[in-house]
Amino acid sequence: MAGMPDPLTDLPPPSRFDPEDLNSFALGPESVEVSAPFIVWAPSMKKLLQSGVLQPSLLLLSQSNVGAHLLHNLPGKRIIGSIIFPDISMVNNFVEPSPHNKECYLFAVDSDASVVLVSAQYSISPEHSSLWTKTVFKAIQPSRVLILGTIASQHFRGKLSADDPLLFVLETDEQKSEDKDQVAVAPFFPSGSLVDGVAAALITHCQIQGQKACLLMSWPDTNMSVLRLLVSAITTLIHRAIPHTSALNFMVAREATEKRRIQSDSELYV
Amino acid sequence: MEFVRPGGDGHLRNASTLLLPAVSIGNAGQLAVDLLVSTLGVRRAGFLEEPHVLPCVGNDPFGPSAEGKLTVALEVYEYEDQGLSVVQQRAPVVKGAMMKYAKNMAVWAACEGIKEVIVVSGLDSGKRQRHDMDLSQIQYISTASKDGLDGRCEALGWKRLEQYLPLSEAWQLLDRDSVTDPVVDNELSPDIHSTDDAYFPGLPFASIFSSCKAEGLKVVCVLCFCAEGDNVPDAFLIADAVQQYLHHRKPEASGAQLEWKVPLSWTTVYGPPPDSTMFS
Repeated sequence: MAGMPDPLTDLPPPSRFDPEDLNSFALGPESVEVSAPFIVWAPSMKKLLQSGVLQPSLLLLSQSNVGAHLLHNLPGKRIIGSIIFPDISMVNNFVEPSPHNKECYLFAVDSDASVVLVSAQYSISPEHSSLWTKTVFKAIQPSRVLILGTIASQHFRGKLSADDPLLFVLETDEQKSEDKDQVAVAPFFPSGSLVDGVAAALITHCQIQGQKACLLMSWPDTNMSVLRLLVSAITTLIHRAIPHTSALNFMVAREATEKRRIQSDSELYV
Repeated sequence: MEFVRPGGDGHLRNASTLLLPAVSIGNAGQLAVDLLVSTLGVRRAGFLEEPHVLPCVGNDPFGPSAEGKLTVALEVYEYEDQGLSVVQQRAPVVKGAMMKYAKNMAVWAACEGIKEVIVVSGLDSGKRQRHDMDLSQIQYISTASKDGLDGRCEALGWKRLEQYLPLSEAWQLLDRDSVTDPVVDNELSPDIHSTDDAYFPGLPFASIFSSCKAEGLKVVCVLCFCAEGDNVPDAFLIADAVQQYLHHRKPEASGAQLEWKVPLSWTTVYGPPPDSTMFS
């Protein structure tokens, strides 16, 4: 049976449930009113948003630290909006766009926003993931979706080492039927391991709506060792989805991310 | 709650019985449903869209090899020949929203023409009556009679859950809530939390039981006392009990007919294998 968290480390007790989680009479966060997230668009998007929704060929959503650094280093992008979650404080954010800000940026790389990139850099609780997902897909209705997530060690039933980068893929049925003759960009996420939170909410929405979507789950998220694996998979998937695009240069983004990382590491010893 | 059948009409086919787990100690009910789905070879019919269940995805849980068939938090499987539909729930309900989820499930089941709902769940073995220790781990409650007794379950040798006291304050509150607005904490009398009276009615299976009853459905909860740990044996016990119930079979006649097919996801259900270097 579940017990108290460890008083020193605050680690959860060795149980899958807290007794309160199973108590229907308990008052949960559901009963607390949450302000719905909303999108603030850049003035330049007014013309494209005349129909009320954006319909890009590709929507790339990043919810990982590695993904945020990649998107911020992507050349030629511009900010087209931001998804505001009123309950998330933006205190201590830098004025300039940064992968370290607790914010959610929407980028585009061309004038007609045929590819929309979303970098969600704040933490979205599992309870609010579906609400956030609905906000995204209400405003943006893409032909294809690519999600960058990170493996949570507590839900992964395999070995994780900080030294060994890992990349796995999960696809919706629609995407899978299209990719059946293609070589997989990464091994499938192991059976028995789970993905929760906003990455799960996003791909669940796509699966239920019969949309083509792919989820790349990477490890680790605290350093950039998975960058090469991730960029190789992203590049392949984008090439398959939109073969003639040259606006998305993730190789340059990778090099810039690696370079900045080396610089910041070396600054430690100055 | 909305049922989405890919390329279909959004309705169940030939469904008269609905089997579903209630999230519980040891995830025993959910494990049993996986075992039944895997063994019966029922096919996935679609997905349930429900805002009160947390999102969760994974790779094919059944196998024999994980070929990347995406699994989501609420899925529906159909065994049309038997008139059986199965809901699998792989993620918890948002805290505080259990009654809303239960009501949504009950309304959906009633709209789909379901006649009988079978709920499978674990129960904390610490709450088991001492005089029951020699009896089967399986107990039940049913809507067949007002006191929860059901001749069909009694014939299988199961005992009715003694703590089901339909006239007690907590069970009455649950029944009332299942037809009105969701319960809030302060509606319970202050003493109710300090006793065990609210423990069983507060569990997810009880919310589903009351909500389905309110929709006029017949409900049987197949409950298994267990402790959290390796709950695979409990899952076998529940799955076997469901098979007995569905086929009106006595316990002694069971087992021989059905060879259980263990789902692929169970190979890692309790974490990764130990590091072999520990033993060298």
